[in-house]
Amino acid sequence: MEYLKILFNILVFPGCLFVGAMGLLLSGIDRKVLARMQKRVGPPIIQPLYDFLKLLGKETIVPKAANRKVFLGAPVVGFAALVVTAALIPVLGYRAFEGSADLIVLLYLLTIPAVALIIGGSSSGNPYAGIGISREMVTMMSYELPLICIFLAVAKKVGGSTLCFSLSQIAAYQQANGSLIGCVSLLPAAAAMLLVIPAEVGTQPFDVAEAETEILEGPLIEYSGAPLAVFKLNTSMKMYIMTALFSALFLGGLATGVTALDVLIQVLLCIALTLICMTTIHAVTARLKIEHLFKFYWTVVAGLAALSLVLVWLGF
Amino acid sequence: MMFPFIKEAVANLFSRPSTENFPAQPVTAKPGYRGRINYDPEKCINCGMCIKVCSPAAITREFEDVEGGQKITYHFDLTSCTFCGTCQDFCEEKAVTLSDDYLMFAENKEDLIVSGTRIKEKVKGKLTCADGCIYCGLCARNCPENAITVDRASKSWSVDHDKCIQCGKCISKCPKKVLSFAEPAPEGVICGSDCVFCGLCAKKCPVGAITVDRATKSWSIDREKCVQCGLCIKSCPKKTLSMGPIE
Amino acid sequence: MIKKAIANSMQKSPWLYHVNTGSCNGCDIELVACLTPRYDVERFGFKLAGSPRHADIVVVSGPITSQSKERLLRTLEQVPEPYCIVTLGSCPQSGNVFKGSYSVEAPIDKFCHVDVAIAGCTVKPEAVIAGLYKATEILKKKREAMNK
Repeated sequence: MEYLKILFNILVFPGCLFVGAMGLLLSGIDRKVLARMQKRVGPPIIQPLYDFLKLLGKETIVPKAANRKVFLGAPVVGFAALVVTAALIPVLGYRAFEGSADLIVLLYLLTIPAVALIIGGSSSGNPYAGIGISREMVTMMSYELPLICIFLAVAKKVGGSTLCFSLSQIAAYQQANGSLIGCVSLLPAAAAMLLVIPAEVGTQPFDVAEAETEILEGPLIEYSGAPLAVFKLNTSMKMYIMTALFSALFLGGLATGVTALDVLIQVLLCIALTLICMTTIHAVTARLKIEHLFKFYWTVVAGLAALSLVLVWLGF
Repeated sequence: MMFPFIKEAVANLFSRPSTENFPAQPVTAKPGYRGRINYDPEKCINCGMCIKVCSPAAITREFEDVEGGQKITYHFDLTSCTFCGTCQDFCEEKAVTLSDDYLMFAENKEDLIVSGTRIKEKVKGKLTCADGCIYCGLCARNCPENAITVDRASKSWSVDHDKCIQCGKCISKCPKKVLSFAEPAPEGVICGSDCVFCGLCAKKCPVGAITVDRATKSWSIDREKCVQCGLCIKSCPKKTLSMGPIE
Repeated sequence: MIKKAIANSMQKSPWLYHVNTGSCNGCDIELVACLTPRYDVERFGFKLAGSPRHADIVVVSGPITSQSKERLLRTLEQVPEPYCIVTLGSCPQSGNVFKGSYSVEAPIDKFCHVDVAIAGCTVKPEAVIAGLYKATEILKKKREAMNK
């Protein structure tokens, strides 16, 4: 019975199927709203599903210079890590797994998809992919610092003197005391998290790693067919996971007891967050260069997160 | 980081998109659009000016002899055409026009060739210039093959029948309407009503083509022998001989 | 049933890769004009892909110059099946005004099979949209043929 429940959690809800469907939905809504902001009609909302199915129907070509096992295995590793991550994040009230150090595990799990992209790109043997992965590594470094500060700030706020890294305890604290976004000291952290989300997902203006026309798609240049489909799905799933993490950390107070209602509210929250932090910024900015991205994250965003950390440590 | 267009971006969410609903609603091109070529073979006079002025050499024609004349087919290759419209500008008869149809796409290249064919009856005569020519030279200037030579000073008009393709452009350009493809009426020496049967013409004829009999009052000429030198006309005392149309 | 869904998706989400083999850029401008808000070809799922390995429809413009012919052939080898080739304008089909030049290798029929030829100099964006739509129907047929 235990195992069935775990399997259900990993494969269906909130695991593989749920996060896949949500990722495609968020990706579709993002593209449609972006088009409307640019005064165009835009693709239908299920367009990412059509993209995914079409890529499954294309031939998979492994270049001669590529390491075959790593080339084909990298997207699967990223997918697996994302499925486990999704299973760990509570859907407002519904907590699939109770753990004591969720946030630390999450921190490591969230680096795996980016590393999978890097390894996949470097195994393809293409110099454009080489440029792409070096940029991806710098991007990863730039957003990890603010992310750690944000997690520390939340952990300190919830736990007091013993830092609390358990997501389920954070959710319980918010249900008792109201959403963490209501606390003034954590507002800078919430703002920083909103800026970390687009970099983690890889949408403009922070998509320098996968810059399309500049370096011909970067690490994904030699991928085609099913592995490419999985990589694109990974990107969509990260959209859901990051926005769900934001709502779990800062908006947990909105949970009602009923699971179905919680799921609905979570979906709406994720859509709203996607529109605020990803689509709007995408519509009005140009792509940042890698040095500007690094500078931006280590000054402005890290500064906001550090400010929150200092305020929380001082007791506010 | 600056966000300059954020007001417009959010406002656009609530206004209609400015996309043209193309396949659902057909779109007509603006007037003067140079699109698919329309060729009307009935109006074409086969002067070949369009072929001469076409810069990518997209126009070709074929001749085929059939009974009753010649079958002339023109092919306009749209996959080679640059849609400049020069053929339309140079066609006097407006047989070549560029329409406003822009939907030119096909799976087979052959679907993108516009052709037209007509059968041209053989013209019976050669180009002739009748009396009344003022030697203006318009026919020579408009001839696509440069077959006509006109000299105003010496008042001469001539045509090289080998070069003439019988397009008829000169006929339409002539201000005095003296040009035609008429078969010229055959001419020869004729004897008028004042003949006294003196026989001087028969004596002067170098080839002995004329026979005059005083007794029976008859005058005849052998057309095969006559070289049309005109000596008989000069020698007639009654001036009754002349060059005129014969049946 | 999944195979039918995949074949259907082939028609709904074709990704374009554009190759310019020496064109005057007129047809290239009209192609990217299709992505602007006025014509918005993205509502049918079209998207410009950055790499030939991601492409479904390869759009070729320009008379195939001798220098670019080898690169064009190498690029076409990298595109995964099934794919379509669409030529823009009259340059790839016949060389247009550059016919007979020492460095122009048009027509493209000599070295690859063209699925849809769009005529014009330059093509109108609506004609490009109609031609690309026809190419997606051919793509779906190719995918269904691969299924058998």
